[in-house]
Parts: sequence; structure tokens; C-alpha cells
Amino acid sequence: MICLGIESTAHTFGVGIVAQDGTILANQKMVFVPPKGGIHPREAAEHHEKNAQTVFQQALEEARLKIQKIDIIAFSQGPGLGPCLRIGAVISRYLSQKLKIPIFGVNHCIAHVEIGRLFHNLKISDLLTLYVSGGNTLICAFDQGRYRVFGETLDISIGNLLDVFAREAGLPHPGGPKIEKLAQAGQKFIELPYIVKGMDLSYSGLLTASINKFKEGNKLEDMCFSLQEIAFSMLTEVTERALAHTEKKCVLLTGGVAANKRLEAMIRIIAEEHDAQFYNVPPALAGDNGAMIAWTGLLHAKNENSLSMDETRVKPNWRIDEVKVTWGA
Amino acid sequence: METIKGEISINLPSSENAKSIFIALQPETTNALTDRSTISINREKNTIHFNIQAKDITAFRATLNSYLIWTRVLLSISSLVNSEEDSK
Repeated sequence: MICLGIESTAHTFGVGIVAQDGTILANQKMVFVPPKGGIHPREAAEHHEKNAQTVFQQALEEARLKIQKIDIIAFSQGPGLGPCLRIGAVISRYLSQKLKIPIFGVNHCIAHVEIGRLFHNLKISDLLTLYVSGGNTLICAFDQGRYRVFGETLDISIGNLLDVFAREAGLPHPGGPKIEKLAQAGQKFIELPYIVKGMDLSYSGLLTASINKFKEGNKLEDMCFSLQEIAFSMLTEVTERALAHTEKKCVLLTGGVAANKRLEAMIRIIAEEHDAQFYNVPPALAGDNGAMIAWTGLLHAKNENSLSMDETRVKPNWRIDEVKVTWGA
Repeated sequence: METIKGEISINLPSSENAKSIFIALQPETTNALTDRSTISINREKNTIHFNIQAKDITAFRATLNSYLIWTRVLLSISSLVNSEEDSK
């Protein structure tokens, strides 16, 4: 059985093709980079519309498959930006109709966890995941049929914090890697707000304070260093407490921000201190991609009926803990 | 207050393709984010008719643009499916 997955939650339009045994046959994508400012949902949707055919062709060529060989179609149904999600949804419905194949809606956050689990061959019950990206920041683990959220951002995501600060500091998109590089040259720690509320985090005050401190004349290298230390320490604290509470055997770091080596080092330390194995998802699979949607579509198809067309409406605010994980029993 | 109304008809290469595009678009007609505009769509053979009603021109244009973008992307994908079928 072969599944084609479509990712279109935000700036990435991706098409992945995955076989039943977990072999990734193709994983192609194009990423919208705004000429200035942040991602405007309608502009990102127009990018996806213009590039969808090319990405499909590239994926089919990489997999060396005719589209008629696809058995299942899966798409990212949420959470995400409405106009972007709808591009993936209409294409999926069309292909489901045209090729007469079942259709499955996939929760984007679950797909990030599941592709990491597939890559490292991890048991679902052993895993605590820190998922950090431009749209999401959450710490979750599987328990009683669902991925439960043990901590999450109360406002903006970690990726959004880094991107907006970079933009305000005049750094080009994507800001995260540039902040990471500048932080290595930082020498002075500048005090910034550290906001952890219970098991949740808040980054909007940290963002405002960082921009203000930069405008006061502090060196950019010192600002990047201090911002990373504060923001990542908040994540590390909550992840460590979740790990102590759940006593999971593995910690998985995934999402676009997982590529940051400083964050990786901090999470690795707390994992080892709790006798848990640390795993990082490689960048090609950690960022948004179609393969993770295709693989999670296959997991849904194991025990579930496909969606009716009415059930394929997009869910921009779909939480990870709303989904019954039928393959986790 | 005045209502802005418009009907757009798009002729597609085949009625089979029009049917698949119509089914793909239909769930969006009941999934609007605001009540500033409504749309109904129907199909006659190879033609899809879009009937839009909006409270203001901005909402009318946004709704129209959304459906044009979706139709355009489906046409680009349909050419891919059809060329694959042709090459079988």
C-alpha cells in the first residue's frame, strides 16, 4: 500500500510518498519565503497554488511512480493557516475522487512526532516529544489513546519569537540559523524576562523586551546569545519536569527549531540526567514535509475508515490532544 | 444595506473533470470564516457556476479569488493526472 501525503499548513508545500513498511519513496517540497515581513496567509496560499504541479511532478519522478499507483491520499487537515490548509484539502479531495482512493486527514503535530518515531524506530509508549517550530511549541507524550500535552506556549511559538526578533534586528529570513550563529559570538548576558507559568511558556513578553533592549543599543551578538539562553532554558525546564513526571525512556526533539545545536545540547543534558535516550530528527524530516503526512495517513488507514468529503473540512485550530491515536493501543 | 451579487461560470474540458473539481470545492461552501459573503456552486455537465453574495466588495473579491485559486490549482493537478493517464 502506498500513500501520498500533502503538507500545506503554512509556508511549505510538500508532497511525500511513503510505502506501508515506512520506506520514504519521495519527499519533495517548496518553501514560501516572503520578500519582506512575515508570512501572509494568502500570499503563501498563492505560492502553493503556483508550485503544486511542480512539486507533484518532482515527487512522482523521485518515487518513479505513476500517480495511478497511489492507494491512499492524506493531507494536513490542521492546525495551520486556513488559506494554506485549503489548498492541500481541495487537491486531496480532487485526487481522491479522480483516482477513487480513500482520503485521510492528518493532524500536523502528530505527523511531526510519528515521522521521528519512524526514523528512530521508537515505541510510542516510551516517548516524550518536544516539538518546536514556527507555528507550534509543545511538549507531549502518548497516554491512554491520545498524545497528551504536558506543556505548551500560551502565545507565540519559539520559531515565531526567533523570526520576529531577527526581522526587527534587520536579519534576513530565515532568522533562526542567523541568530544561532551570532549567538556564538555573544559575550555578555543581558537580563531578559523568563516566563514559565506552571507547565506552560509565554514568549510574547520576552520578544518585546528583546526588541527594546536591542534598540537601546546592546550588541546584536549579545542579544542573540541572551535570547537563546532564556528561550531555550524555558523549554528545557518544562521538558525536564514533563520527563520527571512521565518517566519516559526517550526524548525526541523535532520541528524546524530542532536544527539549533544549542537547544539540542540543552535537551540532551536533561535527557541523560534522567536516564532517557535523546533523539533528534534530521532536518529533512524535522521541518514541515509531505512524507510525515503520508506516513501518518498510513497509520490512520490501519484501523480507521476513510473520511467522507464532508469530514475533510480543514481545522485551523486542531489540537494534538483532540485526536484518537488508534495505532497506539 | 445593498448586497453585491455575482455569478461566474467556468467551462472545463470534460464533464468528468468538472464533477471531480465540483466535489473537491463543495465542502468549502459551508466552511466560510465570516458571514460577510456566501457562495453556492452547482454543475451542469462541464460547467461549474459560482453564485456569490457579499455584504461588501472586499468580501466579494476575497471569496471570488479563493475559488479561482482553488479551481486553478485543481486544473494544474488535473493536467498531471490526465497526462499520466495518457502515458499509461
